[in-house]
Amino acid sequence: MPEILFDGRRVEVEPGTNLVEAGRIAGVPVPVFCYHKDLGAVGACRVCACTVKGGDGKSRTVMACMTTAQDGMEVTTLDKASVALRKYVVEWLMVNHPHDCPICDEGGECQLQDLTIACGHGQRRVSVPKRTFDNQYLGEFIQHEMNRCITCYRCSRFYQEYAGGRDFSATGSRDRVYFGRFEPGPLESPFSGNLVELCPTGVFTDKLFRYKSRVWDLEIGHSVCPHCSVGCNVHPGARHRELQRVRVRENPAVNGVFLCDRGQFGHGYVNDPRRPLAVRSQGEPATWEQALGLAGAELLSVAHQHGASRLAFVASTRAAVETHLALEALAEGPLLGARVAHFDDPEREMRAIAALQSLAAAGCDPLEQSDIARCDVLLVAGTSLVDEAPLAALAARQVARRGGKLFVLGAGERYLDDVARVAAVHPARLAQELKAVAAAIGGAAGGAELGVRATGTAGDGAAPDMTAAIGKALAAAKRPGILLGSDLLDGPALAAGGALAQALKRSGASPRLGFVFPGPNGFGAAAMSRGTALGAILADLEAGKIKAAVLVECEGGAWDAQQLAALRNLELLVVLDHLPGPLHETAGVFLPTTATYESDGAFVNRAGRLQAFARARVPGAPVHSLFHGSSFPRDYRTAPPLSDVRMAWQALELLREAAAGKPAARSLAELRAASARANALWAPLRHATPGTEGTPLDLGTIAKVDVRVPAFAGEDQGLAAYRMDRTLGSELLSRRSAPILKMAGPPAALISPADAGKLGMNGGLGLSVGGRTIEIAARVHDLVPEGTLLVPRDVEWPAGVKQGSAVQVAARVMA
Amino acid sequence: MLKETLSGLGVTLRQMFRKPVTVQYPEEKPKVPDRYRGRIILTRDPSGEERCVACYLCSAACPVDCITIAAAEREDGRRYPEAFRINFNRCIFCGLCAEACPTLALQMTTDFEMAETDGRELIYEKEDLLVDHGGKYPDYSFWDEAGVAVTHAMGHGHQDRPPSDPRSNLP
Repeated sequence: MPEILFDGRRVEVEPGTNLVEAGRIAGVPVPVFCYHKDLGAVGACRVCACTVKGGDGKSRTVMACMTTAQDGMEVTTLDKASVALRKYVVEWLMVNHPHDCPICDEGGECQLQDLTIACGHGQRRVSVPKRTFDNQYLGEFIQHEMNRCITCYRCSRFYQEYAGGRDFSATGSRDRVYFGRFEPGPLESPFSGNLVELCPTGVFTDKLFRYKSRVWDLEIGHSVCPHCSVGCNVHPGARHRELQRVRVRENPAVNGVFLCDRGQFGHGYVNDPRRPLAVRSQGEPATWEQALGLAGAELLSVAHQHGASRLAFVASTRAAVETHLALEALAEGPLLGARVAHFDDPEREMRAIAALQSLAAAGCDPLEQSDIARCDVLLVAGTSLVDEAPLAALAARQVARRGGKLFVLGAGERYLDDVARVAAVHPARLAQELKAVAAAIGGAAGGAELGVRATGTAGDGAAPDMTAAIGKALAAAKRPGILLGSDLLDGPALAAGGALAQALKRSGASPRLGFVFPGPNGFGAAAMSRGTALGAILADLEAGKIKAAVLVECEGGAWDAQQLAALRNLELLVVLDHLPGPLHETAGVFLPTTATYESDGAFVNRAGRLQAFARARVPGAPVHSLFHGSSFPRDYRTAPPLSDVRMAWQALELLREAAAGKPAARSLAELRAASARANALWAPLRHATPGTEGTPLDLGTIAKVDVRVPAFAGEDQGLAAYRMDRTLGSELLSRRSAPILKMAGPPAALISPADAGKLGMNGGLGLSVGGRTIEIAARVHDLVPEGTLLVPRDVEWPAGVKQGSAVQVAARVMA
Repeated sequence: MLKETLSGLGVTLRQMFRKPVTVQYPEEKPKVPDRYRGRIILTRDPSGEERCVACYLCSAACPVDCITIAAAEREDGRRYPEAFRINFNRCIFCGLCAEACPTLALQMTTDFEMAETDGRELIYEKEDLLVDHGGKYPDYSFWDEAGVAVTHAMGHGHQDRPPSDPRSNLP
């Protein structure tokens, strides 16, 4: 291990470490613009200059990012030559820099500003006219201001190399290098938001945050993104009671330093003026005491009269862990026997629970977010990762970039197809394909154990040689990884995924297995479920057997008209949520709750990592909505208007106190401690701290649950419809944001070229499904398996139609 | 004892015949220097538009947090303060805000006659602060120097050259 002297400090570093990282280890911050630990070193900006005395005793000026630490090196960053070089380099960069700091959003967090002041500059000493550029429209998220560019190349390196985008690059030369698209237009990559954080100056700024505040005025929280199960860490920033922006928070164990556009720009739902912020009881405004008193008394009365099993408590995967725990606690004492479900969608409930069981039974390490890029062979199956878990797709791309092998057995893959070996696999065949891969690992022995039939037909699905290749590669890999979806997997496939990991383990490898879960807390919800409760609850609801219900952060989209109508006939319906919707209007009692960025709580991400979060703001009417004309309000109050909103777990605890008399937990810590005592799985909750890396849950403490997920109907059923998320536009919370909708465009179904040809499709389809006709735009996509139709989840779908059901399809001409 | 008493009385007698320095306010007004730190105003640039670009530097500099601003963007792309409030109950007239202002919008005048009996009257909004002249610096326009295409086309500011074409082969 080379040992060097860095500014007088002796440090030992790994071989191959560059001097910037060596400086970081030594505690010396070397200034950089173009160097980025995930993008590599290019030596473009010249600002990391330092002086190195090598073995021959000669001192040289070198760029720290381009120099590898050698044993015996003596590095200084504060000698006269290095300081002078840095000073001049920054002055030259500032020669062409526009005089626009007052109107630039980067001000206050601008690396160029910081280094210019650090080098002691205050005036431009030349009067050469500055070079300028015309700017481009780059979409609804990113603002372009090219005059500010210092040509560090971070944007094009990230966009093209790291993220694989094709429509943005560097053009030109000399002092007129231009970073933009070939033609103005929305940036196509779903990771374009990272340009805002990467750019050391204000060339790329957040359009949603434009001209709102300075960073030093913001209240910034340590939170977790609620838009998918990856669980990226974020810094929501709020001022004047308005959530103004979301920035990435670094977590080396999860998202590193990157975020996707859905998470960065999908926060409009928090400030939505239609948000319900007032307690309502029996159609009238009420106080918390009145509403809780009424609801508690009613729940108790139903339990006494009809039995607690006539009560239904349902939460969804966007509710925090503590909310789910409080819901379970509500079904105790006099309400013991109430039916509890942790999902609001029965299809997703059974798949998530089965996925968790498969993961726990496989007995291998979970495939954490940070593990994905480190795999040397990665198999992605049953998902289009960029649509279901975008940051996982970004990490998967790095496997191929680092020389590893990336295989995709998916449907609708549109992001990894340029770096992976992809086969479009009909979801009904996926189980077979996974078994074939397992067979190829264990050779003859493995095949016999699993009772596998050889996949003889070459037609649709992966060719036999591909599954053999995948099996061989996984068996020979040092760090094999398997990442499966869930929405596109049936029972056999979910089991086959776990069996594949077990086969790998038996062959002597150490595989890591992961699934995509629904919502930010799908894993947590599945871990708390003792079975697929929701299906039975909905059936009983329709049959009139449920008398009262408490619904927490549920969305009735997966419930059919009869079930929703049955809600209106309940003796009591209590709804807790922060989104407007039809359920909230039906409710006998409505209790407004906080959004994620206004809450303290925890989520469990798709790899079983428990991450705590702390709020950025308190809810309430934004100051801007109370303006007098165009002046700040002059009202005198004791509390901000519309701020009497509680966190969901708090509201449930108070409801439990009202119903059962047992005093509510007075703090989050108390609730967490009680849950940790009751269940070993939640022991990490006791020490869960926001702003840390999080804690992996112990898969060994997950209870065994019996769950049966039916197999998809075979591929010879005509066109089978599979509902799937799309990166922008289908996720429940982010699709309430106008810029997200504009960038997403209207939903379109994806269909294979062969099927489109058979139908004579010309841009649109009419689907007959579940007794309804749905008109939808449609697009041909090469990697859609024949016999399937991939329908985005934001298309309104009749409830009760199973995933993978056959649909009648006819071509339509779309206007 | 007698000497000290007579000496003290002598001081009193001498002062009685000296010219008084009392300024009989409000009939006489004191003369203050041009740089006197009095009432704060928001000035306009030579074209008549308000100078303030709501950069938040004055509110950051203020040691007593008496400035509150909400920035916004006009249709022509100009950044301006939608709301600008100075709470003169808190203001200590130190001048750090005017010193921080990069567009010379915020300036201090020689007017010190601001007393009110109701504190709510001392909260000045933008319409109370905005004047229709350039104050002590009548000729400066930040937007001419800024290098953004708001008051003029890109590349036609005072320090700029016309936009470069990155696709050109010419030197």
